[in-house]
Amino acid sequence: MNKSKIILFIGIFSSVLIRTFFILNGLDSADVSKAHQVAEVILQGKNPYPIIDFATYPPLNYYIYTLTLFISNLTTAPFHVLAKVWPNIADIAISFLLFKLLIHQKTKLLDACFWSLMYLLNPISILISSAHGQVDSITSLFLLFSIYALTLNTSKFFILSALLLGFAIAIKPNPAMLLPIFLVYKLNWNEWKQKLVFTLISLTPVTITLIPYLWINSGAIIKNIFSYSGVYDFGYAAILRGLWYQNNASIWLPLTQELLSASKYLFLSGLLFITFLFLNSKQLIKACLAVYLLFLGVYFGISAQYLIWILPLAILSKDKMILPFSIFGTVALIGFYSFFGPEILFGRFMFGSAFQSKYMLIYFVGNLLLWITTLWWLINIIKEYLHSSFQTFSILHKKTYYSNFIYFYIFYDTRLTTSL
Amino acid sequence: MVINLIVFLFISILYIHSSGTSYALKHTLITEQELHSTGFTGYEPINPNLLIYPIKQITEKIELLLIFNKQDKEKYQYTILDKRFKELVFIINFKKTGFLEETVARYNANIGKLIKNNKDFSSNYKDKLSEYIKILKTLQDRYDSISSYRLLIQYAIDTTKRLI
Repeated sequence: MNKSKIILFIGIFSSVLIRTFFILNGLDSADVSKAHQVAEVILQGKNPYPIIDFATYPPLNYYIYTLTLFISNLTTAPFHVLAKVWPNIADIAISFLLFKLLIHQKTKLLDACFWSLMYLLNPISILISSAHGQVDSITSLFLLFSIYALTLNTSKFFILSALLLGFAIAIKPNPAMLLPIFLVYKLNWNEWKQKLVFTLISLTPVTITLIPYLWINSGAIIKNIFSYSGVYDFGYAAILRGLWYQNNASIWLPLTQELLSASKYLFLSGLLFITFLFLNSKQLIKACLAVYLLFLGVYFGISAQYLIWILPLAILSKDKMILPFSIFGTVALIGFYSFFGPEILFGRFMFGSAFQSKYMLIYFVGNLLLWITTLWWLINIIKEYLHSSFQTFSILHKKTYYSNFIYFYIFYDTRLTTSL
Repeated sequence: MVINLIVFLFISILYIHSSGTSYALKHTLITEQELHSTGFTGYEPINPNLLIYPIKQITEKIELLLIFNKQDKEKYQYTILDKRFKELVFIINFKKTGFLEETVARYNANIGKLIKNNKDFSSNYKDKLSEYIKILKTLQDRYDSISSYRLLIQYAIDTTKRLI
């Protein structure tokens, strides 16, 4: 066995140990507890969407938890322990896949080892999957497979790629924002008919799993899933929250609905801008990364688990900005959990109570630095891309880019002004 | 561009801070004059509502660790108590009631430490501690008899009495 493989296995073993510690000492609380409640309703054969307000994810997401509850009932193993096993298996699989993809990109064996361990030993992925128990890494795994299939052989695997992206969307809808990027990705299939097929296939899993629930009670689906805008725990919302907290220890910001609405339009116009910028580009991973960074940078309703989306794409593009992002992201997460949900971070070793002012500083500083890093990173990706590719743009492409750039700013300005 | 952004942020923070301060000064529980007439000398520059407050606490702990003389240490602990008292008055008078519970708890914990370790020294501070009670009672009277804030202030008064 060579040196690289030994490092890889030592890294995996250490990560498994740390993750096992978090899983075994965790509690059935916060989001895992909510998923537990939804799974119980599904296992009773009932529709969870009209009964439970916080059932905000597509059915496939809850089927994972229902299967977990089924196994838990059979084996008497605690639900919260089993529920956290899936995202951690996905994390290990992502790490192997990243290693394979990096080797495929002709990265040196030792470098590929370090980069893939940067995901598995990253505190963000450990905290989100092992302490918080969020299944976002399962979505990321499907997304990575989809990218792998598309970049490996576009004409041959584009249906498979669309289907894998579809499964990712059916578990958590966030990869849907990457769909325009997949559609403008240039290789041999830039015909609209094929792009339409790709769109339809990628939306098939979520549609099929939603149809029975839409049939029974479409109102509940619209209310719970389509109207869900996220919670404003991270990003610039957290910075404002920290500043607002000084007023009278209130953790709820005023004007949140207006800010959420404005940020939605701001993100959509930004997405349009990035899509046109990367039109016919070969840099699928960088473009996807830019979209996620845009989302973290401009959207108001950012939750803790969204931070994990960045990691595999950043590693795959071997972007060193992952280091400040991971450091500040970890500080922000520790501040967030310590203040809002210490039981998530400390599990059965929890002491004290939630909402202790002393942790607000960590939460504020972490988020401030994280938000600056995110925007800085996004600007750099766009700048580098323009620097390397702008000269190769056609006249039409250049004109589209400029008009979108102007539209983005005018739209942002008017939308924000009218919303506030 | 980065410099412009930093300057803009700095000016914005200064503006928000000054407008916030002038707004807060108009909306106190009792007027500054009234407060000073009770013997109150002045607020602390950094109060528990500020994000940087934990840094102040850490600094105090380091300062306490660096004092080796026993008498100086005792004296410094009473200085810290005075700071906690001024912070408590700030929180009550500026109606930042969201912070009241933990500020009272912090003040009481400080007195608890003094009762445990340095109660003999408290005779030197008897007048000052009586003044604390007087000021707290003046502020407490502005709340309704059924107010929970009144009860929290009463905890602080009762704990202070125990030190005397």
